[in-house]
Amino acid sequence: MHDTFRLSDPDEREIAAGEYVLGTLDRDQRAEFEALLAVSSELQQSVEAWREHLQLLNQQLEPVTPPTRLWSDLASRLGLKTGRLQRLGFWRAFSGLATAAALALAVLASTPKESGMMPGEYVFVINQPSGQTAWILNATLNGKMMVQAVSPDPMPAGKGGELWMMENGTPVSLGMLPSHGEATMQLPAKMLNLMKTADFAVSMEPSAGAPGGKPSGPVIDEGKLVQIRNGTVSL
Amino acid sequence: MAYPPHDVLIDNLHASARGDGFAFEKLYRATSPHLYAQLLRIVRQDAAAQDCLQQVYLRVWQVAGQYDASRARPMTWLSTLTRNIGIDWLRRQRPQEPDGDAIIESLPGASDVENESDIHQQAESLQQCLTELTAQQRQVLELAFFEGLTHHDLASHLTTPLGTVKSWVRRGLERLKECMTRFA
Repeated sequence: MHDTFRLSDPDEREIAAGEYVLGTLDRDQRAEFEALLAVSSELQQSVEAWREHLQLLNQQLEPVTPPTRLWSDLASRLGLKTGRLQRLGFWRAFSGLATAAALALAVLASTPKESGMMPGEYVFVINQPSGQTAWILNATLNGKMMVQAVSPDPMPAGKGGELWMMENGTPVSLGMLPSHGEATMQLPAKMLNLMKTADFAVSMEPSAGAPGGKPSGPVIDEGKLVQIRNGTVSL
Repeated sequence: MAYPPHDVLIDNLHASARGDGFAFEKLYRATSPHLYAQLLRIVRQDAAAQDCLQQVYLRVWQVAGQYDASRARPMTWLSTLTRNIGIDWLRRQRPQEPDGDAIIESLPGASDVENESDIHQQAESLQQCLTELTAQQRQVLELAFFEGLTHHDLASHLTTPLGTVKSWVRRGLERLKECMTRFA
């Protein structure tokens, strides 16, 4: 029981830091605590540690996606250009049509420039089950592959997306995809002639690479490269 | 529930501080479902939670430059800011609207894109720390944390002597810390 507030005692001080973060101190105790907090780096660290401990109470809550208009309201209040991420969804709609009749789209020129995308002759848009684009892969004719992370869904610690190319029915790893930023990978020369027609897939694997070089985790997306001609996509 | 990777959030916060709207949008998309859930828990009204959420991100955009990765994890920093805004809202309402008797309710309409079992396992091992609390300890911690109740408020809310309530809070904090330290 501690009916008195004794900040001179280290144990009491530690608990008081927890109570301070929790918000249970009354006004006088709070003022007394804050006076000491202002000058004690030890107490500041203690408060920071308690914030991390009590974050568990937030972490137990199931996430709830807010209404979509909230972002557009916010963006317009801040004067931000909005919808750059949604525009990538536009790509997705078309990449899903890869097997449909040939179409030429003059849409690629804008989005890649905005997102700092590197040029290439082929593109593969990797979407995740949530529907959001995770990565965009651009490939050149000589097998250089440039991958940009757009918005990969969070993965468990120690996991990442691994890119595979099917070579005569066998998946061959091309490497781990970046969780943010960009990465470049090179297709082995012997697989170059298969690149245009091969199936590609991304699966969730340990960050160090799939055990035994074989895919073991759930598939995030699969598809083929789509050719880009003069800034247009030929599907 | 597991949070988005720290390093990505830290990058997005730093970029937002430099005025990068694209990074800010990514930050919003990754974190808003967590912060919205938190606000729903605190204010318990959809419209108010949405207003508060807007305030949160307006504030984040303004003060992202103050985020210091050496002092707080990004979600903890964002959640602290969110909680302050939610509890401020609650305090402004309190005179005309006393607390209801609801204490721990499940949230409505939770939609979740992360179904990987590992994510749940990771979150569950931490959640275990909450299950190590007694019902009374957990109740007082959650009431204080989400509804902004002080020791005195808790005592009157629960019609329990002040000393008893203080002791529940204290033991709850001690047990939580001990468990979290074990997992760290």
